[in-house]
Amino acid sequence: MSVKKNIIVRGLTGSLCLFFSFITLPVASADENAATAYKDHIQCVEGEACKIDLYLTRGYRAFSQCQVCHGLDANGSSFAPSLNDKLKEIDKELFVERVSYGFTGQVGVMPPWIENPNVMKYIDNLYDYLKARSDGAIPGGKLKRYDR
Amino acid sequence: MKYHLLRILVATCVALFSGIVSANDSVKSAMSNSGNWAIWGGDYAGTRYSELDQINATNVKDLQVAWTFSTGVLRGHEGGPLVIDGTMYVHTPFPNKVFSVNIEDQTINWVYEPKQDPDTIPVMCCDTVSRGVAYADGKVFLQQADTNLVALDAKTGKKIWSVKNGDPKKGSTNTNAPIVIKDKVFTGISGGEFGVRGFLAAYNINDGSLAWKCFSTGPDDEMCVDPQNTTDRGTPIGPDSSLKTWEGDQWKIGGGTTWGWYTYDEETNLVFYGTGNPSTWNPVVRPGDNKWSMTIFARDADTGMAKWVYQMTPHDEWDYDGVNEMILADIEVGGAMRKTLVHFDRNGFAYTLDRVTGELLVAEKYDPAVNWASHVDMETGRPVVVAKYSTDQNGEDVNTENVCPAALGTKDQQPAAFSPKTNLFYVPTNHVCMDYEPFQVEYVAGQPYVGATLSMFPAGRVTGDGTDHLGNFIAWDAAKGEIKWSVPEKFSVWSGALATAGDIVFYGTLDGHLKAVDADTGEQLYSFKTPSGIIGNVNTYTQNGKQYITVLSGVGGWAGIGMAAGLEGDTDGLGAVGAYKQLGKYTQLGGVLSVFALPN
Repeated sequence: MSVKKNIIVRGLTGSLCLFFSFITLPVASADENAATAYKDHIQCVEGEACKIDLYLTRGYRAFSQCQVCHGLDANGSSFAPSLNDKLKEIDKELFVERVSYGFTGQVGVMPPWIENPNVMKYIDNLYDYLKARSDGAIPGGKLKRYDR
Repeated sequence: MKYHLLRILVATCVALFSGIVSANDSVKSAMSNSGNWAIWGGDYAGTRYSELDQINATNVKDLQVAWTFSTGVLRGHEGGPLVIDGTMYVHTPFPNKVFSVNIEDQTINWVYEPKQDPDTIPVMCCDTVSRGVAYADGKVFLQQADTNLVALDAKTGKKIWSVKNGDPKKGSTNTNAPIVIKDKVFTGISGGEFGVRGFLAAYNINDGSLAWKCFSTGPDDEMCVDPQNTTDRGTPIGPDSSLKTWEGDQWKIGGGTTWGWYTYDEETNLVFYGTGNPSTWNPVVRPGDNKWSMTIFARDADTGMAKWVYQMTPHDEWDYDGVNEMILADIEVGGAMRKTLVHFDRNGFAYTLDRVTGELLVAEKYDPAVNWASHVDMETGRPVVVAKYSTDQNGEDVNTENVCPAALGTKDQQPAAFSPKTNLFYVPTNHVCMDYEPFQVEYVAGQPYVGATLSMFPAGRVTGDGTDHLGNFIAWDAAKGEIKWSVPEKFSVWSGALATAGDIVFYGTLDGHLKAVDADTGEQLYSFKTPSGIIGNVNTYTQNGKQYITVLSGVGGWAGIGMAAGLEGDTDGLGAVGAYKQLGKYTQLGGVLSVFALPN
């Protein structure tokens, strides 16, 4: 889904949801599927650290652009929030919007990333990586790959 | 007519001459009064040493808070206030306010708050810190985050001039404190993570016009180097010394930024500073030594021409910026008194050089955990890289594990102190290691340009010594290249040290304590919990003959990131993970200046 479309959908759902609440239902269920998409990219064996594939590794690499503010383990810093917490609050749609166009918080200011191919090409990977972190499915830091 | 012309000529000459002399003299005279703190390092040499001895090893235990001052700004407070003849100048992180405070009654004479484009904030890689102002000739010089360098009237706070030093839209910002030498104010540039090409610039203090600008990389004339007369440890650097060490035009976006501290030696008229990492963090895409990133520069303060250079980390593979302060001290090395420059590099080696010639005298690890290089070859001046820690040799998409130090360095910007009484350097350090995996990135102007994933953890996980602390405060013998004593700290020590004639050394901690230790033994003599974590520098001054100690608290900066290292409850640690707690459990945001004195 394109970012522009996302925003239009948000605007529509925001203003018209009272009248067309049925529109929001399929979006919500699509979000639910998106929210757990990472499960196909993680392999865990009892007693060992979980491994990930190239898809989530790309998400982790995109996250390297975020580390200098949001912390090495996405736990946040003195001037940017914990993404592990934040992804419990916001859905993928809002995540993509904020990453694309930036966000001004109480203390920090997040830049727009729309021009940065190192993030935007891998925005799905990035979301799935961070969602997996937020849900506690994988620990922070570098993880081993199972697909090579 | 003739007489008139002559009179104009004489008047012009006098004005010019006195302008030059008084600017220089105003800094020197302000510094020569030990009751002032007139420049970031206390003196041009950056020793951060004070002759004041009222507060000493015997009575420091009685130290009390005399007064406090809130800056009203939340983000990381680096640097420290200047005090000149009864007036204190306190600076803040973005929006870069400056307060002029009457220290007698703590009333505010004036406040300067620039209007800066908030779009500057997100292009500052590691918090919106500022390391302070400079004073000379009745002016206060502020290097704003948006790269504007401004001169303020020290009496009124009114802006006299302003000059743009870079373009934030292309990732250029500023965090450094400027310094004034003679009739010029010196500043650099930040933005290595955005591919910004570093330089040192000198502006005329009277009108802000550019006197010269010398780049870290590129063609010889743009770097202000002379192939025959600029030397590298005594040997002429030769033509195209930088261009030969880059592939194609990579040097144009190759970093080598200059965001650290600057020092000055009046005798040789040399200004000293270091250059930062080459861009990107992925070393595979920039074969060669990438000169002159990661380099100590000694430049003529009048012309900018480089007298000598020394590259500490050729072809950086770990983000070991070379920007840390260059402390100028005269010490006995190998039985002879030498005019030295001592530098504690991010790469974990402490370098002692002859500051006149650039000769390398000592290069030793100042944290035993350092493992990326076995030693520095004293013949070639190059570090001998350990293959298994080479992120370049291991290659793209390979995770190089357990490299010490981490990208934070064994020390970052937090400046050390030198006491001529003990001949020791007092160094705030990090004790953190990392995993580092380089990968391909695309360059887009104004966008971060990192190209490596990084995780950091306590050095004890690598050394296997069972420790889990993230910092040390050490005393260093720069003649021998040896640690005299080392005090472990729970977190990285990210505060600038102060040594005094009272045989004590001060520093702050990330969990917010101002500490005083015995200069000979490191024994803790005093500790006070300030309102927030300390990443500022400890300074001292006198008022009506009484000695005061100052420090800004206000946690933040890259230290806040480093802090997160190893804090998560993972299971592969030392079995001591419980010892780690989030920084937030110890301290919260908020800038406050605390001023300490002995009871009356």
